[in-house]
Amino acid sequence: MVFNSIDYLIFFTAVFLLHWVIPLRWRWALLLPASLFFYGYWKWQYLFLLLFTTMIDYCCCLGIATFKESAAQRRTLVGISILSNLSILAFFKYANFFITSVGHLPPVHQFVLPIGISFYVFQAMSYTIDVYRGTVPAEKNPFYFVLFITFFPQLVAGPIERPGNLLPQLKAGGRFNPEKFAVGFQLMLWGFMKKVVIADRCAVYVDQIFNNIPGYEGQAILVGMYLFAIQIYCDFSGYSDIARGCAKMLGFDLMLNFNRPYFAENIVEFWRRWHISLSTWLKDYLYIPLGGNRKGKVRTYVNLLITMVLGGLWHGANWTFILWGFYHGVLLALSKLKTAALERLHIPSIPGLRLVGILITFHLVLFSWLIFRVKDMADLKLAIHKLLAFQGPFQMNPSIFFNFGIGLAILLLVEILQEFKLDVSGIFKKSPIYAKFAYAYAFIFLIILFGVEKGAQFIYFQF
Amino acid sequence: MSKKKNKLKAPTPNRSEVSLDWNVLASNLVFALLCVGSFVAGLFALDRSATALVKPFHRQTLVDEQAGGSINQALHARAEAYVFGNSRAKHHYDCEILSQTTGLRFFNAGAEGQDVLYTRLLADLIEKEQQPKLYLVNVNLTDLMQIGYRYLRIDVFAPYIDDSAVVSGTLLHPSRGHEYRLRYGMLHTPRFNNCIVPILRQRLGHLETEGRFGYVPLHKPFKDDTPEHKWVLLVEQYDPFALSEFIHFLRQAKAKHIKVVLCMGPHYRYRSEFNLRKDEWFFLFGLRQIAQLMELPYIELSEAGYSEFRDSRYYQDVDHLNEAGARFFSEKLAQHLRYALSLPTLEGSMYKPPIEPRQYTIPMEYFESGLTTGL
Repeated sequence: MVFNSIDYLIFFTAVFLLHWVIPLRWRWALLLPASLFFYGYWKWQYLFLLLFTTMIDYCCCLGIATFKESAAQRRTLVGISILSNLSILAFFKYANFFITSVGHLPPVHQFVLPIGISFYVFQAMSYTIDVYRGTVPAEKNPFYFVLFITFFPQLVAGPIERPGNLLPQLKAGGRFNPEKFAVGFQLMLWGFMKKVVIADRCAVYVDQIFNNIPGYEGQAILVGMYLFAIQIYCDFSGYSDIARGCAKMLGFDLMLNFNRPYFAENIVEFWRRWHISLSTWLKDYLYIPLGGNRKGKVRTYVNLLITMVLGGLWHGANWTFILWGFYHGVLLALSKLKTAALERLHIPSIPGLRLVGILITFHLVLFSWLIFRVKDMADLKLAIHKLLAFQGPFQMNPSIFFNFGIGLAILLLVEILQEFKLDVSGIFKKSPIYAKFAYAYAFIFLIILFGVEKGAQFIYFQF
Repeated sequence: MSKKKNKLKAPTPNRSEVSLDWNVLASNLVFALLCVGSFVAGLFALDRSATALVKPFHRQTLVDEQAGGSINQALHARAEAYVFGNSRAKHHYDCEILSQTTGLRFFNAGAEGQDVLYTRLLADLIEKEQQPKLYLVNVNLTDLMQIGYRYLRIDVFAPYIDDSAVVSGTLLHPSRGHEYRLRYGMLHTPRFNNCIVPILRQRLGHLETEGRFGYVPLHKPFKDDTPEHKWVLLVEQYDPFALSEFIHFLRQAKAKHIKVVLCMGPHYRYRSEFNLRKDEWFFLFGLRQIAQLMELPYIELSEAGYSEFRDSRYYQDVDHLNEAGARFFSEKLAQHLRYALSLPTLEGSMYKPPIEPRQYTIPMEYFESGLTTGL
């Protein structure tokens, strides 16, 4: 089930109403089947896969909690859990890619990639590792545990929640809070606006250009890159906002996943602001266990590259994603080198340079979106060749800019205000109920009148 | 550290939260219902107000085909004869030439990518306020064969749901699912989705309408940019829905004494050595069968009959004639049309030689049924 459908609207309304009328201790009995229904609505057969891996993790974690004294047994159990998660991910997501592109053999299976597999597998792994490390206790109630993995607002495209944040909330629940409901509803509408008014409108042109690179010249490809940068941000952060909004309306707080990433001054800051739940996951469960920056400069850079290449591979089985990860790894390493050099030379920060830093970072990221979006390496080569030649002209229907321009202008205004530390959501919280209603109506009509009907699926569903 | 531990520990719900407190539940419910009720009432009022405000402006908007501009143009045209069809109609039928030759006031109501369903709905709206004498229908293979996006294309008629039972019956048909009924039936504003920018452009920019009486000539030099998949054979199977709607449209026009002439235009088929594909033959026989059994004049102006249409100088791409090609096409068509229209009665006189029943490709029940439609 996708968020931007009437089906979801009906589903969520029903879940929301039931959630707040049934007693707290039975809420899991509503949320768990609802989450499974949400996932199974797409392909019910894959529910068995989801439940199978979840139950392995549950049993392993119970075992880890039981064998507190035996390090070997605990290691074996955490190994089984991680291996089972990674095996399923490898089989469904990477087997065909490596066998066809490296081994030059026919594909091993014809299964469709289970939706959101990378998200729930990473969430399950974070739970197992945290239990192994002793930072969270093993959950004894299997229903709460399955609900933690399958909680529908964040099941298919994140945020990748940590057990320490979500699990206690699922168990504790809470009373209906009108203020929290209003903030959640506001977040949800904000996310829909980003997705339907901005991202889906950009998608029309982006798909046209990137599905036919040979048919377009450099100027068109550059416009396509800018539009894709807007599209992927609004699409993915829009999804996260809807997910956080829905969860908030049900009384749960999911982690912030995007924090105005295009205002980052350097690439390190960009990764602190972009897909925060994945970047912190990679840092906590990959970069730091690899040694982080504790084993010398060379190892730090190597660790960065490994982390980012695997982060790239997480997005999909394609050489372009691996190259995208490698490119970001190199940028991060160079950024660290630059910071170290500036510190050594004692160069003071110059006011006004922040804007330059933002522009440079944005354009470095912009190039990475080209790598990310092209179909394959041949298209990438051709696109770079055409960008360097920079031929035109490229004609676009001006209506497209008018249509998403209004949404983009609102988004930019709000993000600039937030960047200047103006608490926009605080103003909303303090405003009277009629102002909240006015906000909701304005966004509903903005979405209805300017949004793309029957728009594309969320980009990150494929990961 | 202790702070961290506290954060990780699940807060224990108090007794009143665990057990069912009917008083709390009732007050929560009343509050929630009041909020939801007043919000929905406000949404309903605003929706109807917005629709009342946008509707008259939309009716005056004559730009942007995808926002209904071309429908409004056709409804404002007050012509005697209308050309219907897709982009091949829009770019091929020069209304000035057709009007000069036939003496009828023509308007080209062809629209990009549209088909017989669009024709049926637009004709119904035109007939509500005007009394046209002639419909010139350019029919293409995709009009009658299976295509997946047929329904989506006609959403452009959403602003006219209240004006025509045929439009509302088609757009809100139960087979389209609850989504459409919710979208267009309950909330009225979604009917004007994507119309605001064209309305503003029209009102602020005073933009002139495109083309000459709806006809838009093409000027670019020939370029074959047809995707390869277009050359794959289509299934030799009619779309029952499109077919029944088309036949119903023809019957309705006949019942209102509007003459209908079916037309078939040329393609630049150099890739297939100017031979028709098997599915094209299948469609062509179907079209001839419709013309024959419904006693309609049918004009085939194809590259088979005119060698000029085998010349790339007359084309912008493989499916579309350029201005010179359209002029030649319209001149030839006008001559044929004069002859076809001067026939004493249309009934029983076919412009195209009849075909044998064994060449029929459309099941006969489509012609035997009454005025019931696929809807």
